[in-house]
Amino acid sequence: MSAAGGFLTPGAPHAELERRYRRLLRLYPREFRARRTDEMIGVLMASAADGQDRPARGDVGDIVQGSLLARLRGPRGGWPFALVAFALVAPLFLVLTDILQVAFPYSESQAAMQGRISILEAHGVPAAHIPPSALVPAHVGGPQLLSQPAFLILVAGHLIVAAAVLAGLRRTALAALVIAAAADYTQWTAFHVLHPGAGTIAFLTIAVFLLEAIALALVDPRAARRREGWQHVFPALALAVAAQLLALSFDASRFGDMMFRNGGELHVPSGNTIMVIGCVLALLAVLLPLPLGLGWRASLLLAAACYPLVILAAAAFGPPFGRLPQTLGTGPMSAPVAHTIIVTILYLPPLLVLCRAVAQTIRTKRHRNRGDLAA
Amino acid sequence: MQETTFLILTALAQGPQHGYGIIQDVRRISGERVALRAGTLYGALERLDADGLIAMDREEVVDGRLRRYYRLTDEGSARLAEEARRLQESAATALQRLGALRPSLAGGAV
Repeated sequence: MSAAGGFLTPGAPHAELERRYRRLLRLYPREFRARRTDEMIGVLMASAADGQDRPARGDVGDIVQGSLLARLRGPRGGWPFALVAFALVAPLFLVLTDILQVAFPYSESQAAMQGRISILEAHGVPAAHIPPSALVPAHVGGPQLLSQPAFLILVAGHLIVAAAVLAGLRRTALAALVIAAAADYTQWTAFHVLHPGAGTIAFLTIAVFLLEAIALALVDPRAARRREGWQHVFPALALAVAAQLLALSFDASRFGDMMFRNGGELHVPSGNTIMVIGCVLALLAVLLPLPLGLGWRASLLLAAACYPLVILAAAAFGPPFGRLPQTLGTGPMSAPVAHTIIVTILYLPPLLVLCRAVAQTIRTKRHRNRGDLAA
Repeated sequence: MQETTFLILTALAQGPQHGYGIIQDVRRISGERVALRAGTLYGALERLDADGLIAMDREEVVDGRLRRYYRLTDEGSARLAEEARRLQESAATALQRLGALRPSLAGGAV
């Protein structure tokens, strides 16, 4: 403790100790540091012994532990803040997904297409009932998407949502989100086991639209963007790449061998590897909010958003469902029942997380309003 | 309620205190048993503030250092009173049972 049992003045003898403590406090999230550093330095320096020029070992351990807990807990605000963090990440994720879809196209190999048609014929589907679009190799993504009005509306919607969120124009963002969701639904309807197309990601990002709409209806992310900087870009980027890889692995399970524009080829067994890489990347994206200090609730919301991606890709390759295309419509279960089960499995966990976030956010707002009225 | 939380709230029950004051008071209240460090203290203050159990009272700059004073809120006082009663009842039960078993351990103070 300092000689006076009080606060050491920031003079030369203690300047080195203070500098070291300040460096140590950088372990805390930015938002925490902005509010607490000066105050904590005061306490640490008051607790320091005369002549001490290095942080006490006990303080180092305590600060490391405290900073880890602070990052895990996230900024003040609990679920409302987690929704804010998600509201910032989601539009970027959607825009990046659009870019990746255009930049990295792939298509079904001729042999895989023949194999797919043979399976249909083996199941007794008459040739006349096979749609013409199923008789050509599936093309996914690429510049051809830019000639589809629904995709252009989707991209415009995503861009407007991203810009409006940053500008704090929540109503504009919500309106653009509804338009983008309608365009996404149009693409989703093209998602069919017999009809190849760019429907996979469209189908899987429905959870993101839902979460983003609720988040924007409840919180304003603009202030958080100013406070947190651009660190939410990292989970968005990791999630977008994960989504592209998981969609590719899922399509490989649906269609068979995939061809790339540069002549490369992905055989179905390699789809498992792609799926594992995609899952690892998705996990990384979900865990990134922790070191960034956005908290475990933001992680859980991101997990809820990317859960359908992971589970569907895994189900397509994994044993529980077998190969999904063969399960749907051709198994003992009717297609509507199978669809209902799959959609429930895909979207129920995100909805449960969402309900928890919404309930807590509304409760916090009511509490705050009561406080304001009392004041 | 964790012991650290209980001790911090107890320290603030006497009136507003700054961080270093809380550390010293907690040490005193716990009979030198609990020595809070800055990381633990401010983690707890963050949580208590977020839960509405404490609030910032005022700020001062002393010798170029920021001192922020905290006080108990009404909700914090109610929670502390509730916890103190609960601990008192538990302690009373423990001493009563010990008294029935071995009178020397009960100490006679219930």
